[in-house]
Amino acid sequence: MTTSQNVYIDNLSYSLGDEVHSVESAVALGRTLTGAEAFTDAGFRQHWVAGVNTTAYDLAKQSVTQIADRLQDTGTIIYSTCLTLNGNLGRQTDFESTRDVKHHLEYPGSHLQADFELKQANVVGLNQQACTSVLGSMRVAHALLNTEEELQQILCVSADRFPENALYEQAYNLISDGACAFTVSRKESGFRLLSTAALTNGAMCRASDDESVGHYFSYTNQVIVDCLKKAKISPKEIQWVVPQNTNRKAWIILSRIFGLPMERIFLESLPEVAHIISSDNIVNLKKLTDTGKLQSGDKILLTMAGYGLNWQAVLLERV
Amino acid sequence: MKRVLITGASGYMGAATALKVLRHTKARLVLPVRGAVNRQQSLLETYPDLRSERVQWCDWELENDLPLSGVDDPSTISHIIHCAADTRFNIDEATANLVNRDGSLKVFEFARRQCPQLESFVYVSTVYASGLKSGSIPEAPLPKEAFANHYERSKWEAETALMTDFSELPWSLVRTATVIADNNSGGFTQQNAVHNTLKLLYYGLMSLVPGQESTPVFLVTGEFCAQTLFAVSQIDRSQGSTQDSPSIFHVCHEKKDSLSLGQLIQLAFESFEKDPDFSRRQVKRPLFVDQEAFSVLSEGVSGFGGSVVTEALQSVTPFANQLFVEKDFENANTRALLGESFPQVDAGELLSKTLQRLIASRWGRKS
Repeated sequence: MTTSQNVYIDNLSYSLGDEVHSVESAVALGRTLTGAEAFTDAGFRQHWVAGVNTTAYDLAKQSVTQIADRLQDTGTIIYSTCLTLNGNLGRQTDFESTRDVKHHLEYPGSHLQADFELKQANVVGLNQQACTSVLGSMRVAHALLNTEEELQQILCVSADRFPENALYEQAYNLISDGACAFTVSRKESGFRLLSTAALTNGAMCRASDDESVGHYFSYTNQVIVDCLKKAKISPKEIQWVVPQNTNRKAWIILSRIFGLPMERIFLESLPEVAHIISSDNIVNLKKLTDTGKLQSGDKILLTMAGYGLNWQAVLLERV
Repeated sequence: MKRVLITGASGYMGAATALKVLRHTKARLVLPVRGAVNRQQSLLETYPDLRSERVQWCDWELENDLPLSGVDDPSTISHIIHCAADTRFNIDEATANLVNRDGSLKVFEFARRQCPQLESFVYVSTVYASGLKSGSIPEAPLPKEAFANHYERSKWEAETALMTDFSELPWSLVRTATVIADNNSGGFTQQNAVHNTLKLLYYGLMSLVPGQESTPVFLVTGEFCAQTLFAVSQIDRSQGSTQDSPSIFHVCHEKKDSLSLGQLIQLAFESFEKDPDFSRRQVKRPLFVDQEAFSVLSEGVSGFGGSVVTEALQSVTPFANQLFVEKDFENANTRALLGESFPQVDAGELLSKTLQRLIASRWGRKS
């Protein structure tokens, strides 16, 4: 899919859980299976955990609040979650006492539309792409803007928190609760979306951590190759890769496969914020923007891998 | 009557060679095996064809100063075939020294001091005693090279000691390539790093392969090894006999008759993809990576995988550096020795047959 009409990603924001814990603290609290040394070796230093009374939707609102003054043209909200349980605000106890399934239909996207008075916006929920949901929302937003002429801007939101007592570790990566938000619009600002690619291997939807890791490199390679092919560019034309916050050694390997120097792999937020499920790319992209290193015309590759198993990649160009 | 001592008879190569000697000669066999007294019954269950009054089992402990002290009347030993070794690529330095180097030196010393009637001493080594040297590897003494692992290094050291410090022995040296199957049927009794790598690929646990696609991979059958070991052992090297015949033999096909790493992976996936279980899992072919990238994976494995991957990678990693070295092995001596019996093998067909059996048995887990 080469972009038929230009669409742009902008107004990046993110929020993190209420409490920050060191790797050692996370291990001591029994939130992981892997030991502290392995996490540290992988690049993690700390992670963020939402308080008992903080919902994923609360984290979403914090992200959206930061860009609320730029949402007046929003015609659609794409609200994504990695965990499906974060796609419903209804309480299980209410369902059990009433047996009414409407308590499973209390969508955070609807709440968001109302709470931010985005009255002209409709809602699209997206919750079966695991960690790749943010890139999935870019892909869907791009498609909608290319098919619905009246649509000017889409608000993309991703928010997750792990349930109480959950392990904060997946596939040997340290997890944080958090959310992000950004806009996709026709307005020429931020980043132009050049291409997207997505792969799903449904047969591996119950993959073990070892199997997920085992598939990681070949599928990540394939989704990147697909994405670059659609944009008709070679890896050497990429100025920056902005991955998700997973084991940095994975990108030491991938950078060699693609012939990219490690200095172009922007993983700056990995030690500080860990793997925020589906928001890492946005955190890293925002931090990269804030460094002032980006120049107009720079091409930036975003990649993600997640359960399902899913892989997605998006190629952006700095305006 | 000849008396043949074969070390390592509880292992793959030793047992295959012992069976060969038993079938094709009238010699009596002496088979030193660790804990032989207690293990004899289970050894015979594993190798029923070794149940013969011509076979004498005896204990040996490589750690002892005189490991072969349990051998009756060593002065009547006419042949020694020294197969015992720890052939794991991931063997640690101390074990490699203890078993493969120092253990061999003790056997060499036993032959020199206690076997005056020795006609032949065959030492079983590996073609990878050539270390990381590229190019053509002759059937000749090898200079010291950098080695990929302690297995290769310890075998080179034992080879060199035999040819220099024990040169008066009636020695022959047989360097074998990696055994992929028992014979051309593709059946397998033992599994090694090659089988482990194929298993990781089949189960989708390894999407990176170290090496270059063009690097040749030298695979042989156990039958080829045993056939050559037996033939070499029959060369009489005692005083006044055929001392001028070649002493070093490569049990290995040449590069032109071997698969490249790329062909091996391609054939493996062609076989895998015929299996519905594998096909459903949509496992993609692995990516070839350079040494540094694979080192990052193998050294950082605790952050990339659990015990299954860790264990399997540890058996592959020590061999990884060889997969970047383009070499060829001369085998003229072995060809001349075996004549028309030298196996003409289709490497692709052998691999495919082996893969069929590996897949069907899930690497030996299914009977």
